[in-house]
Amino acid sequence: MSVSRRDFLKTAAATSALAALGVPGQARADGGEAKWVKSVCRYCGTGCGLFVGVQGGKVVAVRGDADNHNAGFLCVKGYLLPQIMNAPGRLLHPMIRKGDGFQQASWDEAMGLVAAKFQEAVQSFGPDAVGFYGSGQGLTEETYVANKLFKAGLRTNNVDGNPRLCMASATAGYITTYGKDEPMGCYEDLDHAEVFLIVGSNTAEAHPVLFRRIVQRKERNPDVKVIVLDPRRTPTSRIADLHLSFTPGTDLAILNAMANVLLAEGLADDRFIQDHLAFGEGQEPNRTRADYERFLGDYTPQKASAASGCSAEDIVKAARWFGAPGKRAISLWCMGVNQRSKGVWANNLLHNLHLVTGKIGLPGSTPLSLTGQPNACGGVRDGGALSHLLPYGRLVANEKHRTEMEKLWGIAPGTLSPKPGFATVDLFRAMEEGKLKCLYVMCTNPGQSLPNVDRYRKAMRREGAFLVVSEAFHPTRTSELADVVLPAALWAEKEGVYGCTERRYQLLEQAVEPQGEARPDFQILCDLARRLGHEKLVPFRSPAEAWTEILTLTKGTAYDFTGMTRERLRQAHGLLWPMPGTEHPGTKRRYVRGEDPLVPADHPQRVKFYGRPDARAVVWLRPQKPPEEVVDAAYPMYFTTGRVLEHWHTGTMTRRCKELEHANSEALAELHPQDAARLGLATGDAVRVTSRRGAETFRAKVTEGARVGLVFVQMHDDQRMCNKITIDAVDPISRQPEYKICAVKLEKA
Amino acid sequence: MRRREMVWVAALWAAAALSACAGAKPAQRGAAPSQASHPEVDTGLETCAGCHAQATPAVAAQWREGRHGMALVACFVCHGSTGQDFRARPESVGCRGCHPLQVSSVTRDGRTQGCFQCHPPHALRAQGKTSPHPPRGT
Amino acid sequence: MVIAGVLIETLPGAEPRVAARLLSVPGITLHGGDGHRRIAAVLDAPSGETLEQLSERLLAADEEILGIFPTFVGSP
Repeated sequence: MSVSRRDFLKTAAATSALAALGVPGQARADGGEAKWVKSVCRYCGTGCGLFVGVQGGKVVAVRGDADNHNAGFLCVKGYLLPQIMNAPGRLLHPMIRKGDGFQQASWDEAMGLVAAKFQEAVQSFGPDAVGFYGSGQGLTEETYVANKLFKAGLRTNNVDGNPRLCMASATAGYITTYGKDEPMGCYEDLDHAEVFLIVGSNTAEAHPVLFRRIVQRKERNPDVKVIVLDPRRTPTSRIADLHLSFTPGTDLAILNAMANVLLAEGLADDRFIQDHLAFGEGQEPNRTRADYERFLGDYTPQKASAASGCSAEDIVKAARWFGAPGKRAISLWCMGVNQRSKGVWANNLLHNLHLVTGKIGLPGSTPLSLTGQPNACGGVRDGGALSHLLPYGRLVANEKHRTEMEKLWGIAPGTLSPKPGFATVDLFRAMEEGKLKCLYVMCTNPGQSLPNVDRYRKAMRREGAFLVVSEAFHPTRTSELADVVLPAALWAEKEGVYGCTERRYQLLEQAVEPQGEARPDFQILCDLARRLGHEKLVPFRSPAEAWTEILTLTKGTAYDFTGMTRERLRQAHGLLWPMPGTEHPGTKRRYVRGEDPLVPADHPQRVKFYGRPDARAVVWLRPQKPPEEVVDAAYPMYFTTGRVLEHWHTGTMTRRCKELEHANSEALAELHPQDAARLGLATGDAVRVTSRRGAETFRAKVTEGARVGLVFVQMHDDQRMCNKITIDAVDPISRQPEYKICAVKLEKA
Repeated sequence: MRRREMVWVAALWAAAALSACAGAKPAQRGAAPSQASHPEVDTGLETCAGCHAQATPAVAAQWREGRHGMALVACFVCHGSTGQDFRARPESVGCRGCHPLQVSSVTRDGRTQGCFQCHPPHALRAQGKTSPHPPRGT
Repeated sequence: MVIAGVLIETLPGAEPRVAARLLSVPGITLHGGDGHRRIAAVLDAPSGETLEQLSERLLAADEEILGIFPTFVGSP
């Protein structure tokens, strides 16, 4: 083999540079070209595909995957992902609490202690004395192992996760309306929509790559209309043709009023209603269209205007745009709708708009709930890792479903407990009451993210409670409360599947080795199972083996993705279920004849809502109800929380990124100039925000985008925690807390 | 040519020797011009674009009204933070994170044609009528 | 044509960030790093003058680079 002079010189140059580096072990044998490993962004529920650039065993770069839905685009958080890998605060060894501090321990010592404590609690107090609190950020296989270990091994349904805090109302909305969870539409619908109804979502900051797609659609088609419903004027409103600001908690009245206009002005699709819909109040489809129209009589635009503070003309205009015959309409919503004590109802009302106009199951016409976390859908919702669920659409309380799972898992009949476990807030309340003795927290940060957080921080440190936290970083506001902290491998250091908003599943390949003694959660949980005597339940040597088992559980369910083999995931840039065979291309639009494999090819109509026994989606009669806490003389202002572009979740990762640390990292109390003037506050002044539960001091930021009478604070700051103030009231159906609305008073501090 | 090479080599060897003598102390930056990075700005309260809307209104507006402003691709994405990583003139390499196809389509033999020749800074909308990039979706 | 092996010294801890930025700079190939403050690389330029410009440009553009030190220089 001839080597050119140039190549020789390059090799010699490289060798000399590497020798000078003094750490030849880290040099790459193939000459230092970066290796690009296919993965998915660690952050939000958009699920952007990317490649991880690896050099010398380190993550040195990322680039967007041009063949994925994000067309190569990443937001600033994703672009800066390499920084989190070596960021300060990476936990490299197991730690065990000693008094007020922590002491480094061996894996064997730490896991031995965890197993002994869990075993002891189960023996002394029964299976429901222990619990698992997981995450929409864990990989599907990790969540699966935990769910199986706790439900089938330890025999408790106390398995819940943070999707309860962000997705539960959307899930319950889809299930009550269509009988099955998860959206029927897909991201591609954004490219076809002519009307966008964005409710309670600051898409521009929370889902920037999807927002870019909406902006592009509008840029290319100036007739496209964007309607934004949000009390605040956020950056999302910059592309709005119509922005409806309203008193927090009154959007149910507005959505009902829009339906009123649709029916009153003949914009409903009578044939679609006749063929595909049922009407209901309470829990049963027990009403008629006439009942519905009578119910809507209470929601004229004028009445809704009086209740909500936005103009009747705007409500009428929004309804006319949405209902315009032949125009394709998409609705997008997020935490503003879900994080509410009436969150499920608000979801139902959004679905109603699509159903009565038949604007569903067509390219560009769909109700698409946006997701907050990268694997809330795939791992927790679909995988059934909530306290009332079993995998792939099955329910704990359903005997047939339990029997099915016992057969699939090869466990004795009657092993699975028929009693649903505690949902998140109830789980931490059980800890407070001393009923729950041991809790295993994986990949999330309840010590910062729970509403009314100080109450539950106390519960986590309660005498006799034992808290295990598996985390890549330490301390976090949760790991600081733990008895044992386990060093978890971080994104790119492990392999597994993420499933995002549009039923898109993607494989994240391992790019680098875990740092220090860190281990993937998959491995940690399999080790725990072995120590608890349940190794036969989770005998997996790799996540791929667990995935093969997961595929068998989906067969015959509405999720059926038996065709989604590991190899196919490795090759593909995202696959959408249902996907019942290895030759099946996947499904962009569910319930649609010719697209969804579960709709018979000869079905007489274009859609079939097969999720419900009568194949009819339900239009629910849901009245306007106030939030749990309304303003009064003592607490005269509304308080709301949310995200900013530069940070994510509780900031454990983004706040360790150099550029992001300097950008929008401090939680400020955003106020309207009128409120600021009344309180004598200017930007930068310290302001004490107090609710009935707690208080926190922030610096004020006076901004025109705020709404009079409403204070906004971001949720990412671990030093100034908005959740000391938020309310822990929950939606009675979804058990999701009302983070978005509570009452506060403000004082200059 | 030969002479310039020698000058370069000599200068850098000297710097290396200096560094070696200084032990653990990092070598001093020599050629780099000082960079304005606004240490006085309270980044907890202010964003770059907030002040620059007044300080450099034309530039700020070009960004704000352009696609990058609409998508909130904030100043620090290309320019770095107000800290040591601040770059007054971002390199085309930075574009690669979000536009890998476009950058690689104008890269030949490891050399990238500068992005900002066709995409003026801040507005970043291409001026020419023909594009050297492959159309999206191909 | 000049080919140079260089050691790039960065601010302590900045190595991964600098490497990420250098990855696609034309004329520079990364060969390894210590994960903390040093990167081994090869610079490749048509002439000594452009090599000099390249190194000056890197120093000017990237505040986290403290210095670029040759370990080898050759001309094919």
